[in-house]
Amino acid sequence: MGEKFKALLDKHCVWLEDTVKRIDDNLILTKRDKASRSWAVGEALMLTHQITGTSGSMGFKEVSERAALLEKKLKPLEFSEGDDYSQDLEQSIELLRSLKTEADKVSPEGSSLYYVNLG
Amino acid sequence: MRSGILLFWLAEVGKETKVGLVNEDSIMSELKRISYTDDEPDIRAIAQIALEDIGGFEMQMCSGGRETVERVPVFQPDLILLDMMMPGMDGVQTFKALKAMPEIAEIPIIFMTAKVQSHEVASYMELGAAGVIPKPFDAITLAQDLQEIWQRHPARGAV
Repeated sequence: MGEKFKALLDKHCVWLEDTVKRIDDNLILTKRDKASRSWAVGEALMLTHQITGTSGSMGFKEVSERAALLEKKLKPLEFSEGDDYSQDLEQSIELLRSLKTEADKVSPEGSSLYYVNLG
Repeated sequence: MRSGILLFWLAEVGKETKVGLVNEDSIMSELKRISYTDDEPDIRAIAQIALEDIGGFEMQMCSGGRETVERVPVFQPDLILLDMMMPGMDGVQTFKALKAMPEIAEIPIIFMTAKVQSHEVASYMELGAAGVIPKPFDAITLAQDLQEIWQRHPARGAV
């Protein structure tokens, strides 16, 4: 029954790489297209929230923690464009780089669930 | 021991034929069936493994609030777990809808959420939640965490 976890972990690693890329695409869009900012930040926020929850429950604690930091930075950007917007956006991009660094290291064997024996 | 003495005395008064010591825990209902709701498929998948394979529970998995409200009265779980942030009907709306149905209103409900600051948890408990499990959850200990909340909840009652 440990195989069930392994199958999920394999799938999750693929999903994680794709989702980090989608967050990146949305933040790039945020910089380029002012009209789409709110929507793009909202998308990035939703995807980051998914990583925080799913990766954490999959046993990838570092990834989840970095996603939580990015989520916290993105939240105030979704509906407001205050004086610090550009600076906050740049900081979000830095946090995304940090998340990507951690996500790139992820493999099924790196999960705390990989060696769980359910049988 | 206290329960055993009480049962013996009642047996004598009520002309019962059964006599003996009864372990207090054995007359309390067991946690067997759980309904779990989360809109994210991977979270549902990991929770199902954690609760079926590790916890040994009989599970019903739902993907949203509306589905939960339709299926819980049929499944009649001992416990309901609800994700908080879901599209359409969120966790609180689902909670209120379930509590408005007399046939299932007494079933304890636990929220699963990343929003676990003390004032947030206080508001969930004030609403009537049986407990809160922080997300991300630990798949290895989730079953045990639920048992601990279940053991403390008055709805366990006596059979």
